[in-house]
Amino acid sequence: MAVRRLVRPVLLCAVMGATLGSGQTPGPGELIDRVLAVVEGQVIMLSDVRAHLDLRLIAPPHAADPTLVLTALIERQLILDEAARFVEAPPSDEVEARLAEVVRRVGGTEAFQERLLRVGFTVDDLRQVLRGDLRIEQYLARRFVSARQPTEDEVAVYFRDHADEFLTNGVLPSFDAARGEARRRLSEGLRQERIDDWVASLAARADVVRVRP
Amino acid sequence: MLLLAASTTRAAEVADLVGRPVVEVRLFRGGQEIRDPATLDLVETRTGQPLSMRQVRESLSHLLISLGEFADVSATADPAGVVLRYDLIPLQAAVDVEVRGSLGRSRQALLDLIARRFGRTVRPDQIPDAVTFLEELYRESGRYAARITPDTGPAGNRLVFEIDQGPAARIRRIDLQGAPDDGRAGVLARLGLAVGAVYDPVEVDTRLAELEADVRARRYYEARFRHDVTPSPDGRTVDMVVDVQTGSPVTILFSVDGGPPVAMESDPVPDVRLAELVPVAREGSVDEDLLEDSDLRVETRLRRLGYRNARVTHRPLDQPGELSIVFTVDRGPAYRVVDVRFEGSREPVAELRALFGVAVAMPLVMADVEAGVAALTARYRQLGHRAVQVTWAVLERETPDADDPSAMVPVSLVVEIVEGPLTTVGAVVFDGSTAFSAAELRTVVASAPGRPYSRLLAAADVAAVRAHYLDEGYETVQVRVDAGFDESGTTADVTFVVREGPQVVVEHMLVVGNRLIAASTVRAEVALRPGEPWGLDEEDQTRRRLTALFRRVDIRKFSHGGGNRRDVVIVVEEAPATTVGYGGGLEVSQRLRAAEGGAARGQLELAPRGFFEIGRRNLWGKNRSINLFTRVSVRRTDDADAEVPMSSLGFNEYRVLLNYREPRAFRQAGDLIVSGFLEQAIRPSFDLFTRGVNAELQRAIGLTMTGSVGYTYGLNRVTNAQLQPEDIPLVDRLFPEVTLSTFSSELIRDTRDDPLDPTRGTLVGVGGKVAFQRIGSEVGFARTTVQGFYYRQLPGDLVFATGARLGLAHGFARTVTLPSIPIRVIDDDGVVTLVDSGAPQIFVIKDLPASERFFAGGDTTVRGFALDRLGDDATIDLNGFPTGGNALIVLNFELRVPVTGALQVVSFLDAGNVFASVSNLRLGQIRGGAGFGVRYRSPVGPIRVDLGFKLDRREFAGERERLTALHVSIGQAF
Repeated sequence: MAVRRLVRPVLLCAVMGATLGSGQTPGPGELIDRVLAVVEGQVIMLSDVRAHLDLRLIAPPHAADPTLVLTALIERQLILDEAARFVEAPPSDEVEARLAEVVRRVGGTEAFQERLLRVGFTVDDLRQVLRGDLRIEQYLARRFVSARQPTEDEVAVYFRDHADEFLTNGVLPSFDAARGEARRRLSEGLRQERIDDWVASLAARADVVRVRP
Repeated sequence: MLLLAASTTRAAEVADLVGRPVVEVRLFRGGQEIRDPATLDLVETRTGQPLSMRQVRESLSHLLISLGEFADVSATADPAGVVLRYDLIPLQAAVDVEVRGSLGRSRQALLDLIARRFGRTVRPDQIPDAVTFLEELYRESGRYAARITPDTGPAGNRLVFEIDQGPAARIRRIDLQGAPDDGRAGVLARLGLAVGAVYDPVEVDTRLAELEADVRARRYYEARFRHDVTPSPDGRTVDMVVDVQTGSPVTILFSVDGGPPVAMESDPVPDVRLAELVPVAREGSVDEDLLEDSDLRVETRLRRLGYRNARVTHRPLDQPGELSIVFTVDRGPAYRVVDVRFEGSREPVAELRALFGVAVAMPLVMADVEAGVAALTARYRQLGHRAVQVTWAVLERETPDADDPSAMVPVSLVVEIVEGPLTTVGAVVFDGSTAFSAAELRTVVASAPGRPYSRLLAAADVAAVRAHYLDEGYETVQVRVDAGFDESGTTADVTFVVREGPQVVVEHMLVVGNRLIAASTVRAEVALRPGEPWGLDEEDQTRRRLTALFRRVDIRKFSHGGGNRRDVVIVVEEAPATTVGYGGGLEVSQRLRAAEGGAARGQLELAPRGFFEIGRRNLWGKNRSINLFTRVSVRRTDDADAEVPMSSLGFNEYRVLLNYREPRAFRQAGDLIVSGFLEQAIRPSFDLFTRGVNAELQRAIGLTMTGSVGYTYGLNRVTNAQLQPEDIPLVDRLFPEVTLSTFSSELIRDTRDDPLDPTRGTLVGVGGKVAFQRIGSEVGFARTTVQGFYYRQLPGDLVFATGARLGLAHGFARTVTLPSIPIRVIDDDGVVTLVDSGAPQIFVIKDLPASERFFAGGDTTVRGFALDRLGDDATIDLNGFPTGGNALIVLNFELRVPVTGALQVVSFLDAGNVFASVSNLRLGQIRGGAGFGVRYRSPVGPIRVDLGFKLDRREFAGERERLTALHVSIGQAF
């Protein structure tokens, strides 16, 4: 009887050990999230990339390429760090308007909620993202008002070098007719160039760790 | 990239898992399962709960911030639910780095660049980034075919980058944009570009920048020269696009008071340095920010000259082929103050004028007037007149002359002060405070019943209460003050409303980044303790202690899930274990030398000197350190025939110091420092050789105070005395080689902002030293020094510094039998007599040995005098050489005025003297010196040149003292 009392727990332990041992190391499974980058201490995860794609928070051509989305999110964080120093938080009605736009874009409240759950965002998380976007827009608009107007020669060179972009039904308009549009595009190009240079300088100064390419 | 793309395409499958129950959560590191409960506790996804991506995200953040490890989370669908697996990628597995192969540049330079980007070690997860970084580095030098192969080796503790820099790319095609067709060849020649040439991006950028600067110097301030290349697939050639956009030439014009635009060179606004305030040409830019700043600078300058309505704007002026920026300057009349009156105040007018700051004959500067009003208001409120109203009016004494805008308009300033009732504090109440009693909080605030009520004081009290809470871990505490006034407004009940919030408590403590120093050693230095509140003071203490241990310390607070518990994550970076330092230089100082006739004469001397230092720290898993310091110099001697002890290498001045430091010795009592020393110094009156050992226990008391006790056993030998035989103190004649055994102690309170170049704060110290024959000393004495220094920043970045030093010593009597020699005896009144008895006599000596006597004069004491030259009749011999004394007093006053960012000029007034005995100390016998100097802020501290003038000159051996003394040194005088 005493022997029986000893054997039963020993057997039980052995069976349990074997059971646990057999399932010790689960396979790799489906990757559901991971850290992709850390920008000045801010973590960017795979679920952030998914959130921007699923909720259509990012504009083409980025939307087609997750790697471009990651790059865009890294740059966004760099700009936001600067913008947050100089731009006040936008009014809540602007944020709500943006939020309503996102809900509409993804096909209504139900689809919106489902996508939030899928990426692990709350509505407040999303508001925070939209608030940041508004700050960035305001900051860029304020900082990069192009003070420099291209000279007449520069506009002419631009028109000559980008003639194919001015074709209308295969016909190239005269420089006089296209001057205004050429000037506008060149100015915008110059502005974008400045923004790109600035973002590149931010990236050079910042602590950015891309955990995965 | 493929992995990321694949991951995102499976987002829909992830959606299928969300909401299903989690049946198992497991953590792995390097394939090994982690069972440590503290680590498992960091994961928010729990067995039995539905899978939430939000919890997954939080878990990843926890693991990254708390452990410093990245993680992948994967899920396996199981019939019963979801099995989650977290794979941690350790960051701590740092490796040493090496580079080899065809580097094309210095190995050390490459390693330094890698270290600057990634630190001295590279984590495995950073290796891809490091490869990209190196590839980019080589691309930047035109090596597009460079191959970088990382190899971590079998042990994984050493990372070698095999580098093949490959061939330099050559230019296949050049597309020059923006240059006129007829100028293309010139531009290409200037840039040194040709098809087939080797492409050097740095060289191209440099030449482009030079060309752009040249063009900008010709007023093309909008010029923008850039280049870009597209490398061929094999990286051997590049197609180059060079964009040279010049824009239009820019002219800066000024239209002053409605006049026509004129060039800056014609000095259109007298007294305003336009070239400095509108730095378009200097900066080579017409950036809008620069132009707006220029408007503001000119406007501010004019207003400071009394043009109170001055207005400056700018606008572009379109002209064919040229851009003109026209600054429109409307100065308006200039105003000068001819009278300042205060009305309605009972305070003395002199005090009001001092506070107000604006005085008669000054230009009327509205910013100064407003600042003066604010100062008056603040002062009255501080005195309890909370409802004080200070208004002002400017009364024009004459009408501005419309025909002559430069004529000054005299104005009277009338400042009216309505003091209002005096308000005192009634009750002081703390509302919402549960953590501390009202009695405890009352000790924190300055507001108390009966004291004048001041809003500023109440605001300071709010900060004090908040700091008190923060020190106890209430990180979200909010404090505000409400003042309830009675009907008459003379009593204010002050209520501090406290929203305490949760008290944050330390949960886990994690140390990341340590290699040689054990984690237990680091933990011993951490004042934050698990289970105890997270206090700001403890955090500061921890940071301060660890900074002494490590090159870099980062203390991170991480919320561990919800609630009020936080993990302390201490990320450290160790400094190299071995440090080596060396250097050389030239000491320039005014030294006493015997002139013909024996008189001491101060003369400028140069002495080459060098030092070498080697240290080893972080010994045996703790921050113990050992350090060897050596310094040598060669100084000329007075007498070529004199036997000056020299080292075998020919140095007649040297110092060798071996130091061992044991931190937190004797059960945390303090830092133990054990030293051995050997030193030979040439002093003005003698040469001093010392050797011995010293043990000292140092302890920090609070944030600013340090106390120490020590014991020294050493031998001191005096040789080559310059003094007349009868002037040599008895003790030096009897004991030219004296053994001293001394106990010492010191207490210092230091609140200076910078020990090398302080601008504010104080240094107060008191020290004592005692030697007895009973403890092995051949002579006995007691010696104490008290010192205090005060530094204050004045408006305009001026620094006022002052200090006082007092030294007192007493020799314990010792009876000695002497042969018959003339003895110089000083009685209590300082009268010197020579005694020669003709027979052996018994004397009682009370002097201190030379190494312990006080001396003064020189670059850190009284600067009108050469080193050690200061003294009275009893401490300076007839030839002017110092014997030193038992009492010292030194007073210093100095005003430091910045000239440029790195240059400072100073004026100083020093005073002091050395006295034979304490009873001889007379303030009336203090000698003074005044002078001026310059300081240059160098990376090693301020380089100092001071020229001091004696305020009274005396004669020694028929020769009058030199008027001046020049000192060159590093660091401030005090």
